[in-house]
Amino acid sequence: MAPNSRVQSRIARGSAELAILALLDEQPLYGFEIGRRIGEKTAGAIQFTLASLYPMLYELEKRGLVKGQWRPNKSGRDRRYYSLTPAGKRKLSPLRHEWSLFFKALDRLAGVSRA
Amino acid sequence: MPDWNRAVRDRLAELKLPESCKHEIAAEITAHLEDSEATEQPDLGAVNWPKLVAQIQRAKSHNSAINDRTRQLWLPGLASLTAANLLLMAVSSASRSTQAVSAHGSAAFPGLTIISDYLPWLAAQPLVGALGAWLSWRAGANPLTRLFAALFPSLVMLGCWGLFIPLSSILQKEAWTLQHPVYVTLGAVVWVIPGMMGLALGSFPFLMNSERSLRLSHD
Repeated sequence: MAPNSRVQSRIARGSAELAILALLDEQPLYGFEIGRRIGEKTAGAIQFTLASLYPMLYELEKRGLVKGQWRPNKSGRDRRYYSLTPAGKRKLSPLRHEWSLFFKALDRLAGVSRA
Repeated sequence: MPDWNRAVRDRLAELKLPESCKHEIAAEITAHLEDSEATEQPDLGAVNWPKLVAQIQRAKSHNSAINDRTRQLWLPGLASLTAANLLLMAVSSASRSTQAVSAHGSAAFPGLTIISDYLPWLAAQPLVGALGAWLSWRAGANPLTRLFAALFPSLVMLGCWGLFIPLSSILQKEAWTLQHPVYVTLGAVVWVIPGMMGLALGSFPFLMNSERSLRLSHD
């Protein structure tokens, strides 16, 4: 993988992780709803496909940051709801701080807030 | 209505996971496709299934399951502990070799052991602390975790002096240790506090530098 695409991949994965954890901090959600709400809240700037969402959720689950549990949704259909674990909650705060630092650093460098 | 579950199961057939796990993944992805139908017609052809299977395989595989705590604290901590012990062994070994060829061994000059063993060991503690903090920093740990990883050898030493040695003395009825708690405490202070300060000193550059924490993903 070329260095620049590796960086892009890291940015994408890191931002996806933050987006999912932050959303689940509000309430437990199932996969489709996670993708839909992130798209909605970011006005389509961040979008998850089926292929990008589930590997990420499974990885977060393996790392103990989220936990999946089957239960019926509002329509009575079984869906696998993901919720933050205590480890996920602990992870979220420093992650937010790290991204805040990152955006400030990027702003100092490239003036992105003035664009 | 398409049989999404069958279509998904066919495409996930290559997954090398327990059947129950494959079944659950297929059910979840099927549910996603059913939910998608409300807004758009799902296009299975648009998904790179071999890539998705590989990603799910990697994400679900427990063989490589090392969580953040392990990568950021336990492994760096064990690395610094190993380095500290190897260092102590090397210093002791070098010291014994020197004394063997010297006409004045440690029996003649007890202080020599302290100078030849303890001081070089102590002087090297910043390097050990730096190693632990650096490994932790590389794994994306926060500053507190980096500090703990760096101080790990001293924390283990503290556990030995504070718990293991008194307990073993009681169990083995070692009269000297039990009758001289001040010496034991002094030993603990001498071996733990300065070492801890040395480790903390070495970790300092990696505690201040938080830029690595801008790690944007987990490899």
